[in-house]
Amino acid sequence: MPDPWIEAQQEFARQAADGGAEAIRRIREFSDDYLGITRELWKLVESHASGEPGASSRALEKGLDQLSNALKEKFERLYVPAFGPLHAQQQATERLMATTLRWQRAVTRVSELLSTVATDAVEKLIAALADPGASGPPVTSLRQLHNLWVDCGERAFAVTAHSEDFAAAQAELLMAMVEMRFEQRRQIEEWARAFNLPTRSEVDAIHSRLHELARVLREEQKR
Amino acid sequence: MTRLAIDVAQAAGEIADFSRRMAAGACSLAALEAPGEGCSARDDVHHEERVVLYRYRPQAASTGLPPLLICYALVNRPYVMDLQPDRSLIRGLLARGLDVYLIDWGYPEAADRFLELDDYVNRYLAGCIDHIRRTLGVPAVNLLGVCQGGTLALCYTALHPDGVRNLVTMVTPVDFHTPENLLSKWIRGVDVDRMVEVLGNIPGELLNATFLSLMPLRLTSQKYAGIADIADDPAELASFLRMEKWIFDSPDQAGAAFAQFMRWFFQENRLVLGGLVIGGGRVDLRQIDCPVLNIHASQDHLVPPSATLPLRGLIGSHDYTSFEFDGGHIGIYVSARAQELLPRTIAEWLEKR
Repeated sequence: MPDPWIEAQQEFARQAADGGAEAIRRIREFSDDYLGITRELWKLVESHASGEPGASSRALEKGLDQLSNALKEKFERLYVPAFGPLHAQQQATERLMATTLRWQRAVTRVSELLSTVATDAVEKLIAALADPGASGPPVTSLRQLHNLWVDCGERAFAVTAHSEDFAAAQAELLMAMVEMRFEQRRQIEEWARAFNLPTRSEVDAIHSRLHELARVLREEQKR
Repeated sequence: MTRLAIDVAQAAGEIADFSRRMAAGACSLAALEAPGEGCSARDDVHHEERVVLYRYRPQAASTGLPPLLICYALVNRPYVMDLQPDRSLIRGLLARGLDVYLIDWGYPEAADRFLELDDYVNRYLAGCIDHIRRTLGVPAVNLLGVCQGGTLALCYTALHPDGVRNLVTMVTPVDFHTPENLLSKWIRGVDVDRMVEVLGNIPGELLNATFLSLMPLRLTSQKYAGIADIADDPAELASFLRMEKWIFDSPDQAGAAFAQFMRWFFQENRLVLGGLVIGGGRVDLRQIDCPVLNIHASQDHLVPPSATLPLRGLIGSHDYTSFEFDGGHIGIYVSARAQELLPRTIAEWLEKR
């Protein structure tokens, strides 16, 4: 079975043997891409500011999201395999960056789904108020309007919240956060070890042993 | 044609009035005394690590029925059972002459992350029941399991049928895979073991955020706007404050037990589908042959009726009673209607057995 660490070192060696051409090519590519993204961003802002047809806030938001994702993708490609005495630190930083990106994507996905809820809620509210078939007593106070808005919002949310897409997005958001926390803690623990300070992992190991010892002791006492 | 008929001048007045009432409500809330945890006299009669067993002092002549042990959920604090004198299931039960005990699971700390469901069911809950049986010289107790505590009570009763004379379950999830169960849908894609490996104990704040997000507008915006309606009523404001404290008083969850509960119940639905083993003992609901009263709330968003009603077909007992409370998951604990209805229902059902 291939060893990922060995593979990473070999990949670094391969690139080094290439005279660094691959790394330089990647950086150039990123620069070109970055300029392209900047141009696209400017066009998007210009189009929105001039009030061109279709230049809604939603379109702007969508465009910005696309550009943001493109930028993240290009940025990710910059990474080169770690090598040498600092390879562990570089890898740790890369992992933390990767988990942060994953978390940002997950936040974006949940936000997208929640924005559809908001749109749906508004449509439901309009329908409840304005449709010819809308039934119910007249809404004569702001409080009644607020309550109707809450009803519409909850109904809209329920539709999305029960969907598989939303459950998957929520789960991904949670797990992305968990992995980000893991990488953060790992780095903090590295620092703690450098100063000979106790870490959560070590305390957990002690608790685990204590728990097991207590269990064995209880079983012995029962005999 | 529109239903919208808001007069602008009237709306301006409404905004001013709402602001005035909210400000008054905020002032009154700020001046209220900090709410306590429970209101009825009780004694702590048994400890094991963080778990405390309380026995409530009698408030009426004894019925002579076996003691009633309340097993509450791990995810919130049990004092909601005895929130204030006019909102207390425990007081209602005491007033009917029952001998009431309550388990307080405490607040798990970092050292508790390796506690498993085996510890909760076969050690803490079993320890409380053994204590009551031993000290009172009774062969079995009446067990009232509430919410997740009901699920634990089912597991205990299936594993130790001799310890339970009658079982009452209240808003208790049994089938975790019914279509209305939103919480279950959200949890199914989560790697709970990895989550616990990284986070250790699961923070109560995370659970709170999850519960609130089940009905995000109703449980935030609408609830707090309601302060304006009770701004001039100190007693209602005090009740509101007590409920707020309770809702956000969520203990962290012992990591290993949380992971097991999520995986075995929410993800794998083992209580219904089988294969649930706790502490080496197979949990088979057919082993429950004592009388069972299953109380559910018709508008429960956390434990929908569909999640609890399948109990009837899963247990071995032929003495099964279902009771529907017209309300939600919180209303069943603290609504004015519940205060007389539920203690009476439980006490009368027990008296017949």
